[in-house]
Amino acid sequence: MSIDQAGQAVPAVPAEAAAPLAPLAPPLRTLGDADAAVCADGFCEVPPAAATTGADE
Amino acid sequence: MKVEIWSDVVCPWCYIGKRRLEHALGEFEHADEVTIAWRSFQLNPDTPPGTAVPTAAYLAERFGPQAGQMTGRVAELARGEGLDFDFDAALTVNTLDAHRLLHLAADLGVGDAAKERLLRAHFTEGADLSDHETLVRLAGQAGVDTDRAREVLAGSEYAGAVQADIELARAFGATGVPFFVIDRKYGISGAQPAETFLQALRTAYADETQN
Repeated sequence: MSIDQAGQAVPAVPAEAAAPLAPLAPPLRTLGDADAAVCADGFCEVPPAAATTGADE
Repeated sequence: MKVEIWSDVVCPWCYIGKRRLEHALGEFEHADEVTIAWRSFQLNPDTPPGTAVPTAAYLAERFGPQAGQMTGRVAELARGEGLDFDFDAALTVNTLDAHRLLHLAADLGVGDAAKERLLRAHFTEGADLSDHETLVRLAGQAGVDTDRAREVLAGSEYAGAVQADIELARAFGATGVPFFVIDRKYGISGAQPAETFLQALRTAYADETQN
């Protein structure tokens, strides 16, 4: 498990792709596993890591 | 320390992630210095307002047979966190009004209670979170004045705050939820194990106190 991925900022919205009125957001330092379970576009995948870490906690 | 959490009330990993963060805070030595701010995110923004579609059917139509496998696995993992998910009863809705109500609840100091109540209503009780009277009832149970809740739902109050949350999530690079930000310095994506949340909290706290 990687807890600290120092130096790997969360990918910010590229300047050229950002909407003109998009809010300014500072770059973030990412913590935790990069492949943790998320829901996106209405679908919630179960990554292999989650399948082995959640049920037996 | 301030932990901002982007999530949707129909997002199963958000509910699981909430529980895991709570477990981590239960172990965190400086939990009394942590404030939680719930931020809005809509997984299904194109769902027509005022309609409720059975989630199982909605997912099956969009994603085919793998949708059933997904919900089964998520429900199994939720049980490991003490959560009882009933995807057969769940209803997919446009959650804009639910988020507007959550902003009201936050302003009244009961944001976390309201968030928990709406999540449980959706995942365990099969509540229709697009129905205004249902939302008023649930908000009231969380400590929100029901007259004020009706007033907000009757108009468009807090719609701008919901949209601002969503735009800020995108600006931070979030592509899914749950998405956690600590002190606008650290980003944590997804329903991490409780131990990972705990380590992240300790890392952020140590960094903050050293600088």
